[in-house]
Amino acid sequence: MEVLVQTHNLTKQYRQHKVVSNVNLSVNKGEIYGLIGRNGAGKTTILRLLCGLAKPTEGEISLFGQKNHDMIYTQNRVGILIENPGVYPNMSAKDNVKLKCLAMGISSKGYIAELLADVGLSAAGKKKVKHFSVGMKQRLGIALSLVGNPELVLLDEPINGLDPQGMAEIREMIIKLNKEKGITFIISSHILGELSKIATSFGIIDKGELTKQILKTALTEDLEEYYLSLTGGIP
Amino acid sequence: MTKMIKMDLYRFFCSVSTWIILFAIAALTFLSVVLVSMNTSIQPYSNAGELLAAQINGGTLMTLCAIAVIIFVSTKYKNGFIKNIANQLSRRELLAFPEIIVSSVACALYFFAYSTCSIVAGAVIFGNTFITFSFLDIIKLLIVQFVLHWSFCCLLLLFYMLTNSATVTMVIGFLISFKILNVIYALVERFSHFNIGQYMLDANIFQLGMASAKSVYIRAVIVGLIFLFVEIVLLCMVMHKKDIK
Repeated sequence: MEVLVQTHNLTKQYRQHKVVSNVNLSVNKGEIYGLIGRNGAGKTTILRLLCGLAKPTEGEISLFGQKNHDMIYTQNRVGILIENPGVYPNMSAKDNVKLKCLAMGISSKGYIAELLADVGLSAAGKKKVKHFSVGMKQRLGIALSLVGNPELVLLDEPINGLDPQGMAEIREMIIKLNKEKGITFIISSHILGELSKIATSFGIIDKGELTKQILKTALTEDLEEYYLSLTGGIP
Repeated sequence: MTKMIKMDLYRFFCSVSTWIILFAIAALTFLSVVLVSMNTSIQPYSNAGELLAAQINGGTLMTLCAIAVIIFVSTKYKNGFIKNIANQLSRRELLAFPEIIVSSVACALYFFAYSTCSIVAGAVIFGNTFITFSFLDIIKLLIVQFVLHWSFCCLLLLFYMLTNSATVTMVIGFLISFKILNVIYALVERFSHFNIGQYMLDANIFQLGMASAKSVYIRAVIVGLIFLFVEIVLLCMVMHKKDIK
């Protein structure tokens, strides 16, 4: 199976504080990789390093088989939704997507409508984003990450602040995109129960270190117990 | 990079703040010409060129350009949209260029509005004889002042990238526009007998007029271009080192 993302001793340090320490991560093409860990464990920083928003202090990242410096030419094959969806609240959903399309040189007719339909925002295209619910903003964030048909999408806590119905909708959308378009996902979350419903493999992050990588097929109660031991019994 | 510039230009012309500031420029220009006509203590200007130069020297346009550019750039960083597009460029430092280009477009648009409104208001209030000026002289003044204002906007962009704070940058911009640095230049001149102001961006904006000598114009252009070049280099260096948050 083709390896899409690989890191070797990936480290990020802010002054004296190591936020990510010697992470050796491997994600195969077509996977939904769940990065699980408690708040402040370093999940977001790992995603920021993978998509090039932050630079590693030490270590190596390989994306689509290209390493470090060459990696910058592959980063536009990566869609991202890091922390909150980065959107202009005073613009409509359509205009927000149009901005990213302009930045990527996409001008094909109907592309924006198709993208909004993919994330279930067809009816809200002309509505200003400031009137959107949290779930709708997350959907728009995902739509933005899908502009340019990326092969890899990084989603940071995409179900944060959503009600159970919203969580289920986002989950279904991710599975659909993974199956129909073959997009590989790396999704971070601190809710193992939710992530275990969609992820095909997992990496557990604790205090900046990747303590375990495991396939869903090997997902046993042991992993759940192990994760609970890290989070002090909080799922 | 051209795609990013296209995107930023689209956003600039779609942005409500662009048109509000343009409206503010038109209103302020008319108002200030009316005030000039009512104030008998001010020596009357002989033509619209002199009036325009005096208004630019006042720093109003400088303040409005600063507000426009900072609002425009800070929005992209504050709402996080930059994260969606930052990894689309092969070199991180290129991220500085769309902002630099848009600030030049903003300056050009506001200069055009300011000078047009000023001349029209002058003609309406003081009569048609008020617009008997050398067109070339006005163009020369506007081009040099445009370079200086653009450079000033890039200086504020640099402050914004370094501080990540629109408020701090805006305050710095206002203080410079309100001629606060003139105090420092005067103090330096008093103790060292060296007029540092003539080599500074803001002092050149405040001094350059229709009647300025050719050497003053040349010095102003050189100062503007040197500042611009240094700011662009520094902006690229900051963008290269900076993590996008």
